[in-house]
Amino acid sequence: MNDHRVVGKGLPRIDGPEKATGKAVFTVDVELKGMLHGKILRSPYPHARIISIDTSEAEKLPGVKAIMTGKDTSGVRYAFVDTPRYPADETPLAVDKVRYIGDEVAAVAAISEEIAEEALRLIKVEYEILPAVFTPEEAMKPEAPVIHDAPMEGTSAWEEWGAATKTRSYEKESPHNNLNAYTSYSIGNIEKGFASADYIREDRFTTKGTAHCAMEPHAAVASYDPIEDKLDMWLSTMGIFLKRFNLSKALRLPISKVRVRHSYCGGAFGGKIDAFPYEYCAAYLSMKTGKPVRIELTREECFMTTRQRHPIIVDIKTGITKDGKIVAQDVKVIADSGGYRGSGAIVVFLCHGFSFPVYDIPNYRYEGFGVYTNNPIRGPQRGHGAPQVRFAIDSQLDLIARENGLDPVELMLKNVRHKGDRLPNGDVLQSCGLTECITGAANAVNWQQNRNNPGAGRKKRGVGISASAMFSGAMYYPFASAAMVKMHDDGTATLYTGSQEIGQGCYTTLAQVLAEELGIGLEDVRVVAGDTELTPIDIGSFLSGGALVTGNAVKLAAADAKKQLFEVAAESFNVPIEDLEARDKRIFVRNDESKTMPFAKAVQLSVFRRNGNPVIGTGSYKGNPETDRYPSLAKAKGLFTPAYGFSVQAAEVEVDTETGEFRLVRVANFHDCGFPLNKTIVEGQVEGCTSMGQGQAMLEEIVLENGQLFSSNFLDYKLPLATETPEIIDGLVSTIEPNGPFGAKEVGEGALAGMLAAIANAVHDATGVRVRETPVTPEKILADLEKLAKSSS
Amino acid sequence: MKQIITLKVNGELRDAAISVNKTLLEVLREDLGLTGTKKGCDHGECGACTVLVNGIPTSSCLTLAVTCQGKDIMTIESLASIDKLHPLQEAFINHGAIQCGFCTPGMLLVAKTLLDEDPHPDREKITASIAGNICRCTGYVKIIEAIEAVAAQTP
Amino acid sequence: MRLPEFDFYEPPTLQEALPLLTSGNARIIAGGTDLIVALKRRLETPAVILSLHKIKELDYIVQDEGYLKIGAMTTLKKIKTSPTVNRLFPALAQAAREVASPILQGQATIGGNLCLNTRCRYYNQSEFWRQSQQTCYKAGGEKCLVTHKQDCSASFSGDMAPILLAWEADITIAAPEGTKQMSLREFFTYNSKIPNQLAANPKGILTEVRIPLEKKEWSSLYTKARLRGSIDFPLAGAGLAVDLDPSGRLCRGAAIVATGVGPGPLVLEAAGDLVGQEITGELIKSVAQKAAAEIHPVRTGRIGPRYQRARFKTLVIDGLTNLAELED
Repeated sequence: MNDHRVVGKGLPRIDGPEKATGKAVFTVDVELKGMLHGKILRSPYPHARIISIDTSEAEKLPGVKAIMTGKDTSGVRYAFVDTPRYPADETPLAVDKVRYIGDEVAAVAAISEEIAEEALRLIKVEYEILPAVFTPEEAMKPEAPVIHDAPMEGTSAWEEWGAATKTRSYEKESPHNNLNAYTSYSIGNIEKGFASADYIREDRFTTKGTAHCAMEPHAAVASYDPIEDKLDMWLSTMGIFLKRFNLSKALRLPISKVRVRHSYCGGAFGGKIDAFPYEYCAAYLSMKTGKPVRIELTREECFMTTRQRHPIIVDIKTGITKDGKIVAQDVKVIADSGGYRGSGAIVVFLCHGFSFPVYDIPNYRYEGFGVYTNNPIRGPQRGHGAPQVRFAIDSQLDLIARENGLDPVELMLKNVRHKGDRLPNGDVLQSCGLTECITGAANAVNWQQNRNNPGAGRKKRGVGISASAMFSGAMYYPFASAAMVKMHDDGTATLYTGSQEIGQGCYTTLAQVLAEELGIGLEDVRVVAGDTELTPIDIGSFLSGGALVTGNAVKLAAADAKKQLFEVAAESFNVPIEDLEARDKRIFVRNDESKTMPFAKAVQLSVFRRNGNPVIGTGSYKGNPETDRYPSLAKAKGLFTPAYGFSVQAAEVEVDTETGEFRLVRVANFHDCGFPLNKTIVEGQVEGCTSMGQGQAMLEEIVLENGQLFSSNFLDYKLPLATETPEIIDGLVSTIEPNGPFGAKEVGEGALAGMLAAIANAVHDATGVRVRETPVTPEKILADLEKLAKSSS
Repeated sequence: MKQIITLKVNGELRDAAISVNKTLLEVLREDLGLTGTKKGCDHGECGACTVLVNGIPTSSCLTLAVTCQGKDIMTIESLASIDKLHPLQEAFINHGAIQCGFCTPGMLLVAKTLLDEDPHPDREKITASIAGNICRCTGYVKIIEAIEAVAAQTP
Repeated sequence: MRLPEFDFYEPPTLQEALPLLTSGNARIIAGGTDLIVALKRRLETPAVILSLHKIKELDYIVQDEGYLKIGAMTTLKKIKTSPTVNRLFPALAQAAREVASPILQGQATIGGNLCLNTRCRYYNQSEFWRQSQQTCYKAGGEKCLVTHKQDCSASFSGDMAPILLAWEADITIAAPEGTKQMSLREFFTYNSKIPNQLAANPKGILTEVRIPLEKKEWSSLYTKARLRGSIDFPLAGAGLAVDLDPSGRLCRGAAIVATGVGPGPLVLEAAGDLVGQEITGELIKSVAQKAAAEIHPVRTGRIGPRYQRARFKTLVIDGLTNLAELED
């Protein structure tokens, strides 16, 4: 690996200059001639029936060009999850009922934002307010108000993709009310497992909802050409091909008539892949007016309506033997999905899928419930279920260690999985650096010295640790990525990829993969990306598959281009193709360096000798090469991912015992990303995860009362500022994943997941206070310190 | 109440016929086509819309455009010279201080002001100076390091 | 959100500004950091906006007639970086550094900060957001949504007022009928709905803040608790000033002023217990206990009142300990 010339280095990102100079065009910057501005009228009630909508006054307002309501979209389903078991439950605009505060009721297109805003004020909606329910456990009771009455009809998206074959109506899997998803899974024998345990404890942990806070607000620009019946869309999104599919289905346009383009995306973190009504409305309003329409959400709308991380209740029971082996674990998860399913069916699967690969537990039972409430909708967010469930598991493991006089690090090391382990679903860990991550992170915070050593003064110090796992892509539409490498006369290359730059640096890392494989420099690569017409299909920048899946496609495409160049050179030098190698934009005959040819020459020769072939390499890679099926969300069966990324976070905190205020002093974040394709970019992902995890552990909280959001701006929703930055020790553990390009796998999500338990455990180590509900705040710590003081006096 | 205002933006005088209730952010982006200045929150809480008004970092979303007549306005579009990036731009790129890039324009202008006022700030001062600019991607470490690197190069 | 329509005036002198106030439903804009957000949220829809930004005569920091005089349009950035302020009243510079974020300090003015409106989780929300609730008392409704009483409980969150009150600073108000001096204590109404004499249909313009120079001999500081190192309003804040005799032990005068925990910046009586006493750790604790008992926060923000009170008490203990140069 040391002979790599381009990958593995911390090269500056290729989109840097555009972004540093303000030239980069984000979706909110897209301005088309004659463009109208769209705004959406939303429900102020958490649960209500729509009696009537009167748009007549708004229509009279000069400058208003179109208004749409639920009757225009009747029968249209538009949702992120659409399977035979879990058919889409959303409509672009509310048809009969509204189910949360912020639910879309009508949309307006006008010649200016001012007029569109004013038009919303003139639309009169009459509601019949219905009883509402705001906690999943209340919602599951038989007497709770029913939020979704009848299941949706029609063919699900997954059947159309060919990824699901059996159509069947939605069957409730349990007697609970308002259930929208259910996953169950078990291995071994849970009763026997607990019977063999020497120590058992049961706990409940809960997490609050959190917001993505991408700095660019969600936006869509739609431009419909009525003559050609073609729709052009610019989206701030993570997956243009998934968007194209969902939009074409909902708008009833053929795929060939929908073009989705990706402008630069000002952050996503999972929050820009769900199917959003504003995208559909922008398209519909453009189709209705024949003019381009832009809808840009306000920051408040982003907080309220563009999904949040699921608040989750975890009931967990774990049994261990005297020597610290976990012999049984029973995990029950209840996820509050809000008014619509969102990613509810996925999160209850991933709470198992992202967590189970960490510890090897012979007797294990998992049950996950996704539940409707009248809260805002929840969707994917960086780690998608992992932070919540890892918070529970590793908080409890810390408690178990304390109760039994064990060292949590030793307990973790005794139970973690290793390279070569086969998971019960069939996934094989062909690389696994969990052990190295645990020891590395623990050493970096001087674990042995600092643990159980809070100090004598008012300020106490403590350390805590937690681990997590993450997929590197999975089988989800469009299942595979392809890439094209076009050679130019001067020996440089252009990469065509459907992947999306969302800040994670994929244009740079993919260009590095291309350059390394082909034997050119990063400066010799241009990237054309994010356009469903110009670029090959791509899985999208979610589920952390970019490096492995798209990276492999790019590597194969570059290898194909190189092979074509070699064929020309082999003929010229009259040597077998196997004798050739490439570097510095040249082809060399191995062991005879006098025979050499610049790429430029090879391209030229190819054009002249090979029927004008200018050398275009192609490659493709499937999310999970060994299977044609997506994993079963309900049964957690089937292969999940080609490789798992692993990470471990160790935190050191300093708590002021007079105020409960605490400072995150240091975080050691060790990540097994297989191989860092770009060291600086990988560090950036790890540091970003650390900061976001810190925020979600200590500060951030979607505050809801009766379904209404009290944290819908950056004053009330407290994400970390520069002043909160801890010392961050990035540990990049290289394990060389055989399935990954140059050994690379996931890096962008997992490094967040352990932050919650690591910080909660560190606070406990410092003070004896155990916080079981995130965020861990000074207010909670001080209240508990007072209780502890009382009980000890 | 519409009026024609003249703004001096990036050294050039620009006319715009605007309503008095338009913010500087709206005028820069919509009337003058300077979309490098970003709207992150529209409430002065995130720093993405920061421009320099008479050299002072200013939330353009909280500023009435009409009050900026006769003042020098600098946006991200003029931080680099025609063919050369500002040292801070170079450092942000080389140190990985840019990810999604949406906070970058505001962050750079705040950093520029800091180094103009104090070429050798310590880490604490750098951190405090950018505390009004939210970055969700980087965790701030590489931004702080990039600013430190420019300070270290400055004699 | 777009701003509502209004008529706009930016007179170059105070003389020209004052008559414009009589037009009714006018609002004065200084830095705009509070008002523009309120306008976007339609919390206010004035017919007239009167900007003071062109009035150069309101931007100064001078020593004169036994006072440090600061023009109302002086920005907090100028105050925090002013050598004069840092030499004479470093606690004022420090208070300015604690306001909002560094960017807003470059826009916000001392006059504007004193005129800061009170805040509440039910009030400081968008037009859309407020549709889901009854209209709160501050916004013209019948009852407070926090206490369900016919009274407003929004919290004053200014960071500049406490230390100025601790020094018994006063202000100058120019009005069409003439100019008058007013103590800051008189300026604040301690009525959350109309928090100061110039809130709601102002009949004058705050033009100057005066701090008596003799207060520079006092040991003073402003101390603020918040969840993050910037941007946040205080969950509790305290302006503390003590006049210590040359021995550094005997306290000849003292003031404790709270912010973020009530309808205005509260001048607390507990400070009286320090006067004439030798400051000890025990005394500080009892004073802080008494001071905390004088505040009555209600849940107007994310933090619970119980924690606010506890945190305020620690602010006072730590602050006074620091001023008296006692060991922790």
